[in-house]
Amino acid sequence: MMNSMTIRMLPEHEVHELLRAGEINIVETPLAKSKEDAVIVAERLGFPVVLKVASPDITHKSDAGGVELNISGPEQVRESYDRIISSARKHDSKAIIDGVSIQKMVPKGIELIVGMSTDRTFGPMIMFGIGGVFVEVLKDVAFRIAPLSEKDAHEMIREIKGFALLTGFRGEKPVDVAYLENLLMKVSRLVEENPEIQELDLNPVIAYPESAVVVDARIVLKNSS
Amino acid sequence: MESFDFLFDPQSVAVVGSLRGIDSPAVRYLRQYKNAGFKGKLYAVSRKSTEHIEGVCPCHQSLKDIPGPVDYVIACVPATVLMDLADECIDKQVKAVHIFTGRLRETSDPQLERLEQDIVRRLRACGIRVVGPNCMGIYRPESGMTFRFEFPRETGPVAFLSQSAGNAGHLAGLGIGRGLRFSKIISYGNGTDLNETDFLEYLTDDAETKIISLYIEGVRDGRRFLKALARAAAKKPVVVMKGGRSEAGARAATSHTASLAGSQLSWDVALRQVGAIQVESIEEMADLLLALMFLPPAQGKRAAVLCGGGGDTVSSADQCEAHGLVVPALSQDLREEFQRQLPEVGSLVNNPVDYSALGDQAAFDLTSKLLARHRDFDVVVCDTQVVWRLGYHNGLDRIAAMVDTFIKVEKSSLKPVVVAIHLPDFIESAAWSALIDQQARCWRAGLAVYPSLERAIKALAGFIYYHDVVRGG
Repeated sequence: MMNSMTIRMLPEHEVHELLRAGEINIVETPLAKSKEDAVIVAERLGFPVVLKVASPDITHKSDAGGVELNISGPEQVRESYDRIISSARKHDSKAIIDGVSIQKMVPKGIELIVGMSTDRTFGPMIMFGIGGVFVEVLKDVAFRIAPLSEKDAHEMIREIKGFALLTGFRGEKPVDVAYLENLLMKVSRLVEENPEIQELDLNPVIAYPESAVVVDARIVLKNSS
Repeated sequence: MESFDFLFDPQSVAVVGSLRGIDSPAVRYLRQYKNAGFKGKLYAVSRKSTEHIEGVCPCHQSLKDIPGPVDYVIACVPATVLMDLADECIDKQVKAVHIFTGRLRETSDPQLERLEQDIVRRLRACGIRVVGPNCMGIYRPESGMTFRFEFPRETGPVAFLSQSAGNAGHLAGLGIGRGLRFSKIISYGNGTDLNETDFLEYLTDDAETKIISLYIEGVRDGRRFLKALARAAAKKPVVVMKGGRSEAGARAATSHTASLAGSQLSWDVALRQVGAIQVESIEEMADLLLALMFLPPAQGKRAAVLCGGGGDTVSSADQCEAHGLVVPALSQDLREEFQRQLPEVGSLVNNPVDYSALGDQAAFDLTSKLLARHRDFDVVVCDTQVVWRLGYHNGLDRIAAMVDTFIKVEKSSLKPVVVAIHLPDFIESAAWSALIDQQARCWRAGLAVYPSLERAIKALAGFIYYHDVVRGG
């Protein structure tokens, strides 16, 4: 992967800081640098939890066997910790591994993606769509050039084919679309105020009837050259 | 916005360059300006004392020999002497220079790139604005500025902004015969000083421009351009053709967003976002511009279709629906009206109207008028059925009679009416020119006319999209 040499990922804790500064709600994801550390953190957050490998060199954590869901007690945390570290090593022996980051499992909701990529003509371009691991298969996304107007945010959410999923499909409660519009506006402001951001993925964003929360986020910085 | 009067309404123009041969650029400009009735003072400048241009204007050996001021210089000299000419322009205190000369930056030769930069910077430093280099410059019929002999002297509401002049010739060629008229055409080439955004901002506030059209390959500053485009589109219809689309995009991406964005064309997103209407070809652009020029606002997309025989009625309805129009069946009150007014054939009237079922022009006339006026229809699509009618005795007269009907329909309905006068591939030249005359009759009467039904419907659909989504949304 020649490319990975030139890619600058923002470290996870800085991603969280940046999003919080932009008033974007992201699930707390503390870092545990050892197995016992992980148990303490998990107990503080409350079970069940999710463990994810923390490494600046591994961008797609699931592909590296670096994500385990639904961990329900201290012993499972220890086992999961070992499995994650060893499969990450197997995936990339040279990767720097800081430990694991831990999240409390969030309730089920609709999985969405909010993102930004830098277009060489127009600069930051915001994306909204159906998220989760199948995002690139479904390709159900809408784009707008930043900065977004409220009209843009309103329209792009309604433009996706899966919009019906957000309005109360099969008797489900509709999700908080106004909250999502507001989230898009916040992301637009965030990327305008931080021109060093090259790409951003908030995926998944889990949407609920009364809010939404970012579960995983990734920020790629521009090469300083 | 600063005034660009010195560009579009210069009081004196000097064309600098060799006067040898009928095809020399300087000779072409001078003859074209003369032909277009340029109102200001016109001078030829050629270093060769023996050269002159018969019957067009006086010729001088250098700018400084011209008595009185020069506002605008058209430079058709080789790149090697451009810098000397720039100095002459500065001494003469000209206001703008159009550099026709090419083979500069576009060659990607760093030395020529630098030369271009140096020349433009020098002129700018002395307050002189530059159009080009590497372009045909400005057409403005109102002041008699032009770069093509065939461009009309009549002025019109459409401005066309294009890097390349070839597209301008193409657009004009497709539209002039159907009434397309321009306020300004600007070919700005390398855009080293004045670029697409400068001109777009100017046209947005230009009182004689009601509709803006652009052919764009790349822009200097995408963010500034987009802002200018949004302001333009909020004020006037803006039609854009983006050239070089295929090379856009793909780059190895780390994030899902960038990977998905790579397959999506940012231009499509940007143009739709600001409310510009995107077209795929110059032909589509000409057709849509005519609709924007000629048609009153559309209230909806329900079409009355005035058509020909059985097969045609089906295919024309299909084409309407394929382009997003609706072709409603007749309501009960209209059915009864037709049966009352046309006891023999009234029950055969439907939408699309089958002319062959009605049998005569008077019945078709009445049917067309009643349909077009009715509240169930927002727009009217008319086909003259050229090929079919030419196969009859006095076919051309019958086509003229159809045009009569459509002109009456347009006058009485106050709705958008498009007319198709198909120009078949295989036709006698006399019939061809008669059809061209019918096209001219249509646009002179204020109708938007098209060389095929498909193009008429597509242009109408684009026009409705504009009123529905851009204006209404």
